[in-house]
Amino acid sequence: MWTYILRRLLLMIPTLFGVTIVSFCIMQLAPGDPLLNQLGSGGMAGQSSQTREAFLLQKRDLHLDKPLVLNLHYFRDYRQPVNIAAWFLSRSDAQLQAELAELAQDPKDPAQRQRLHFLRKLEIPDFARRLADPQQRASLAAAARALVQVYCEDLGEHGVPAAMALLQTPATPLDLRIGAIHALNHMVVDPFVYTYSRTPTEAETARILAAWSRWWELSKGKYPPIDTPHRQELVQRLADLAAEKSRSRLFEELGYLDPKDMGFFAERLLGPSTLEERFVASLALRSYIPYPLQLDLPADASAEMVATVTANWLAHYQPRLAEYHPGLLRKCWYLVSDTQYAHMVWRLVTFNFGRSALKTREPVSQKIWDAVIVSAPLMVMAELVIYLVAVPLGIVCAVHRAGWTDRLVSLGLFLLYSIPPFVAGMLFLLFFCYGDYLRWFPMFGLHSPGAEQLPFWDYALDYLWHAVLPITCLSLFSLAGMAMYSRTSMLDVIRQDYIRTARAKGVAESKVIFKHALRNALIPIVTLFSSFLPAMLGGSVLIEYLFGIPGMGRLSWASIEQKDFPTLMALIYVDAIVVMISILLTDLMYVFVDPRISFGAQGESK
Amino acid sequence: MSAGEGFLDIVWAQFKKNRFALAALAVIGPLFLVAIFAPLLASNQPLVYQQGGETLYPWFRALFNPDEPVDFVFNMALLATFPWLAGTLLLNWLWKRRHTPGRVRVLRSAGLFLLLLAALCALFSFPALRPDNRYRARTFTEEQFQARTARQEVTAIYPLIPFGPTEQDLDAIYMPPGHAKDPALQRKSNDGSTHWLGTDNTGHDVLTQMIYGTRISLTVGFVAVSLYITIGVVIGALAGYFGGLVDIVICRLIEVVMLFPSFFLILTLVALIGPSIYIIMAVIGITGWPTIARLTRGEVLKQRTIDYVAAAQALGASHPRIIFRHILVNALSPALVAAPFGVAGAIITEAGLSLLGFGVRPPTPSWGTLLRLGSDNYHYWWLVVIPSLAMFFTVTIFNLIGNGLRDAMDPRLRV
Amino acid sequence: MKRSLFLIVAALCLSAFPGCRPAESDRPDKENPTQAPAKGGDAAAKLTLGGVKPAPNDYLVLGYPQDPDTLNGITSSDTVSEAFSRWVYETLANQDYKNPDKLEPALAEKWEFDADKLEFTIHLRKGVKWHPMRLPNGKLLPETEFTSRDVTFSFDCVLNKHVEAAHIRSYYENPAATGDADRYRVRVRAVDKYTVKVQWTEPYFLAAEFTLGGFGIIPRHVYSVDASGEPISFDFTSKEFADGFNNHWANKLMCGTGPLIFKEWTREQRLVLERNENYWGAPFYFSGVLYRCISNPNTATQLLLQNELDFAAISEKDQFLQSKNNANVVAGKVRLVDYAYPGYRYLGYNLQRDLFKDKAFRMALAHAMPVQKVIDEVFKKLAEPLSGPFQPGSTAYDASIQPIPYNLDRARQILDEAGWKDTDGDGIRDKQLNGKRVPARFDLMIYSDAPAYRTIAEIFKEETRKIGVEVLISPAKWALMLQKLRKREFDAAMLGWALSWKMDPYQIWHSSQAEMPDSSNHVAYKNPEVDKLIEQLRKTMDDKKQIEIYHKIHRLIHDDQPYLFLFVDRATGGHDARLENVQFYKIRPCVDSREWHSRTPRTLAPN
Repeated sequence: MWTYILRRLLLMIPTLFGVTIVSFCIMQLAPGDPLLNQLGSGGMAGQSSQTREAFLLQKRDLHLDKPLVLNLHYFRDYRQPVNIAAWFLSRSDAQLQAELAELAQDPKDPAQRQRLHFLRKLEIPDFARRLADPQQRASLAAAARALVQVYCEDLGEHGVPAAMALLQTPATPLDLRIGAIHALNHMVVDPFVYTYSRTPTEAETARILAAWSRWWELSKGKYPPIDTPHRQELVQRLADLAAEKSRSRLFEELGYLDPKDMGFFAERLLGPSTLEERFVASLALRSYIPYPLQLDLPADASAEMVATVTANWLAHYQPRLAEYHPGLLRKCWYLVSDTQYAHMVWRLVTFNFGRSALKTREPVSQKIWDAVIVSAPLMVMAELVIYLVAVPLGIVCAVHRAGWTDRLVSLGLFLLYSIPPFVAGMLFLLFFCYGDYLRWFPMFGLHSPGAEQLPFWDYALDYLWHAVLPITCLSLFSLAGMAMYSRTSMLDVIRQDYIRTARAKGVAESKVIFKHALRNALIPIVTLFSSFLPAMLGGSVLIEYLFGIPGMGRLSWASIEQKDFPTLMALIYVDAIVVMISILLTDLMYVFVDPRISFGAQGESK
Repeated sequence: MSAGEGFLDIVWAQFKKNRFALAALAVIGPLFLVAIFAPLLASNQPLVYQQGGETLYPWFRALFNPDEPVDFVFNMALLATFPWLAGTLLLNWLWKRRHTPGRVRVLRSAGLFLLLLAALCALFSFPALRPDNRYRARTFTEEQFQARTARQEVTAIYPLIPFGPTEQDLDAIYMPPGHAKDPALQRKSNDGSTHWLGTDNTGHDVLTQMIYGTRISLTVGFVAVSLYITIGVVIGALAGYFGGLVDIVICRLIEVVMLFPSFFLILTLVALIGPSIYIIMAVIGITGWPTIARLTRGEVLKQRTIDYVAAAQALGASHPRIIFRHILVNALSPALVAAPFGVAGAIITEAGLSLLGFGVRPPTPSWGTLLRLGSDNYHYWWLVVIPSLAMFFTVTIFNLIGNGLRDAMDPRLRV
Repeated sequence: MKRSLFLIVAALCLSAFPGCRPAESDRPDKENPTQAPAKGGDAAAKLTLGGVKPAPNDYLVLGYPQDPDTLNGITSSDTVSEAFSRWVYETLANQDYKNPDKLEPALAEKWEFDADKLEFTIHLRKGVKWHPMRLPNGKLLPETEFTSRDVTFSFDCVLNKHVEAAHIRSYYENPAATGDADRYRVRVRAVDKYTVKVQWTEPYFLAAEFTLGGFGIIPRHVYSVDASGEPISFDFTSKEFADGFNNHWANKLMCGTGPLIFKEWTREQRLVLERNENYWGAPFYFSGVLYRCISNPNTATQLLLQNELDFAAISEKDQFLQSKNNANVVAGKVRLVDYAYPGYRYLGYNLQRDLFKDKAFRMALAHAMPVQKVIDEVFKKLAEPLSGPFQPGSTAYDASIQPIPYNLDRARQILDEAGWKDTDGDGIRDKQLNGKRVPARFDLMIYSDAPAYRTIAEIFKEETRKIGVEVLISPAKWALMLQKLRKREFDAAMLGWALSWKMDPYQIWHSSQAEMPDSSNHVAYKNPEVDKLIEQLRKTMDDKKQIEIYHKIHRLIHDDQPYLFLFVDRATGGHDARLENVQFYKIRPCVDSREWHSRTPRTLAPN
């Protein structure tokens, strides 16, 4: 038996793999980017490139900037495209338009041909025609600039080595340097770390020191030396702060420092000191120096400025050399692991569904749990109604086969079977809820306002009153199906020889039915158990939509509508796993209920 | 055909015994006729329109130029009906003399109809070949026509219900069943008629919408189901016939797709791709096949062990020939039983999607769209009740047929 | 004036929140025998409004259509959370409902500014306490006073480029920025505990509004700490802090200084607010507000008519008219109201499409839209046409410009003259554009969940068909619509703007926004003259000159017809007759619930 279960569990692995592939394909089907939606959901369109920046960061956090299944970035050489991008970014609007005019003439110069080729690859809408039309040059230039920016953004960290190489080559002309710096600004959103994280570690030190030492180099002159008594005071102050256990108090205390003393803190940060002291010092510096290092330049910057900013970027680049130039092994590993698909599979396999893409950023698991506890009781009740009504009904029909009870009940069941649940729901709402006819039941929800203050029984009654119609709708369809099914299976059994034998032996009819037939007739009904768990988890989109019940169905629907992809993926995945488990459970139950079936006989063909 | 003939005869004989199923089959014909003859039942284009000595035939011209391709196909079917009737009668007389069996006659005649339909559709998909379709005919509105040639005596002969599926009447928005316009407000020759089932948000006649809605419902049902039965049968047969690795891979695939709750999956796909009737049909089609594939696979597995397969192999028949010519003919019954239920399911799914706002593109009339309008305001009960009844009716018919077919094909279940 | 523009989603589902509805009159008062208030300070006990004393446990019950995206006062950008935060968060100054040009002090007691409105010195109200707040582990945060650090903290959060507050941040950004150093045109610093100085680097005609009322001030002691009460980061400009802030544990809670205290929020069910007994101003009349989540607008209407909501909008006008015959309305238990709501609906063309670059074509379409008929039949006369992008009746709107009349013959004539002819006999006109024969056919994107939009679209389709133009209607869900608008992947779309009292046309009409991927100028409108006027307007401080410029912009945009301006419809709704003194104002949300009172209390326990 255990080998059978193990075998089934092993078979689940390729299935699960298939599930992740299907989920991934669904996500890719979404028009555009799932993130774009949520940036301004709820009625507000974003207005500026700032939206783009926040968007970009989030995109990188969710790994949506990665390639889908194979990451070739690390194997490509981006020097040429980055050169061209930098060149475009360094042009002023007028220059760019002039350049476009030349490009329109189909130039022979190889550099220009490369640029033209680069522009073509950017997929500017209607490029060829706009290039030919002098009227369109201004807008085309703007579009080209925007798309070059997008190109740099999408390239991200992979373009940094190329841009840095450009800056480090002495022969690079000034304007191209400026362009490269612009490109770097688009590629790297947040180049420096200025402070330690909440629990400081030595590993962070190198990067923080790199940033601040560069700053100190630039602004050393602005801080006069500190005289000894004051220094003593400051040393004591720093020691106190470093020893401070309560981070909140530390936070408060930092507010009372003198900006003039920052030189001291910089010295301590860069000089020999303990981790705690460095931590406090970096915080102190950060609180009083809002923009330590200049990273961007105006288009007409002087050579000196360019040199300064280049040095600033070097301070970013040098401590991260290993990251920017991974070894061959790492590159190969990144080839498959640093992709959207790999990141998604990893999240799913570890059951770390993350946070919802909606702005509340609730954990997805919490959201799903909240919905399950709403729809599960409803579904349990609906299933109870189904089993309690349908099975007896089916048996009665089978026993009185071809009698008028059977005909009447069968016909009724058949008609029920043809009513789509949501149609029943709408008719109920129309006739029993909205005031035009009767107003017997509430129109939506599962509780009256203020119901939570009621005593338990009143609360339960209130709940039942709200739940009657949804439960009826949920059960009607399956009820009919189940009753017909149990009738057939009962009939099957009644025609068996052993029943005839029992009857021939003169066993009482009631005993024949209940003792001999019923038990065996119930076996096929067990198979339907496999639909029970998934239904409980899945809820019903339409019924919950109509009756305003915040269960799983509504959650699925809302996630689809709001493009909440983390939740959607988690829902699909959890659903699939639950279905798999319930199929396995059903098979196992089958074996336990029916002695005729053994594990050996099952296997593939289930 | 020889292998299947005996079987089909048995099925038909059994099917005939089920009176409900037979009755349902008798109703399904008229349902199709309603769909095909919709313009003859309801149209705002006069069959004949006379004004000041000028005679127009807007109805006929409008047949060739509907908005929706689905409507175009149905209109062509309408045109094909008459030559087909004549042809069938003639051929029938010929066949009778040659003592062709009855079932062959039916099949040939159906084939003839499909041929005619295809030919007409192909012919008139070139706009240049369509009957004169200058802007007057395409958008025939009487007011405009009257304005051109002063007020003169007008004779207009309309079909039974003189309202078009997309004809708006802003003076009669959300009118209850039985509404007829006050004579003082009438401006057109069809204005005086009664809206037997009321009107909707833009004053469309609901009865007309229901009639044209059958076209959408039947199309979605039949196209989606044919799609997934085809896919399912082929995949299932391959898995069952070849076994081994092919079988394992296909079984996993079936399992994977079946793991997703189907409505949820359809909803997700439609929401992501964008709603349109074709997308809906395609999505139902590509999500529905696993059940069929599983059933077919099981049946093929059973058939493969029977001697005739070995015999065919011994004769040197190719794999495709064995699969499609020999095995499938015998293994088709589970798929065929599932088909009518599938049609009912697809119709329900389409309506459910419409209810959630993912239905066909307005103003194409469909039952689901009416339901949605009803759910926006339950005060307009007719927008809920009428499509509900129509859906109930249609679904019952298909379920009855499915039931009859199952009883007839699966002797185990015959009671 | 928090944020100046919103896209209107459904037919005015926005105004659904400050709802009100009467108590059932058969619920006898004796159920609530006069007893001392269950809890609460003297302030509430002494309060009377309109001569009526508040009853204990008297709740205002309202509805909201869908869950807000977040309750975080700074990152939220939807109208629902805006409605909630109005009660809990306060700005430094509020726009006066009665006189929207005036700012009335709120958290700021008074303020001074120099002639150019470049430097603001703000004196904060003393002794204001933040609402009590618990950490997720149940620990109560110490009672904290509102100080200047909260103000600077709030600005720090908004101006942190990683915080998801681009919608507010964009008003403070310097359009010509070259780097972090000059990214923003405001500098905020605390002078002392109760004084804040805000410095603008360049003049801006809405500087006062955005200095004092740009957003609600949030508590530093809550949003700077994580779930365990430890500071998230010491660096408010860092990405680390922004991550912590964006994912903050209090995103589902609210803590402000306002007249109501947040109590609980259950997704898709309800949100409860309770009276702040220690409020610095006049206490709220009712013991609290219960918001019920009612996603179907029809349900909301029925609940209103059945006296189960205190105030609700009825977005569909035919429903509003039907409701007039409802027994409860006839009996005077529910009062129906309609009032002006600042905003307009339009049909915007994507001007990047060749088809719409032809101004004559746009003009012809404008002539083909029977606006008056739609107003009469679909909106039941509860709307009025408009001719330009500003609120009719406001000073910015030039009343001398008339809307384009419905005239099919004129439309046909314009098309004929512009060379739109039906050359292939398929009933649709076409024209050679850039060497290609372009048929006059386009997709019209509409919001799929609002029947009114659908009706208008169908009417438009029918009318344009008469002039030989084919419109294909594609309904889309809101998320999809936004996405397509952003990327300009649409031909035409029917939408609405909700307007604020004084608006800056820059975001919708300036050409610098036309090429930007995510801008509000989704039709890509470009007109150098309008650009110049807008730039001039932003630096003009004189009211008269502003009006002049507004009028010029209005005329230019009207002549260009980048939108087919439809109409301004009145908000319709109703309230429970138990509410007294329900008044309507010109600025959103058009009602001021603080002045409502009632003689018939509504307790929350169901009957």
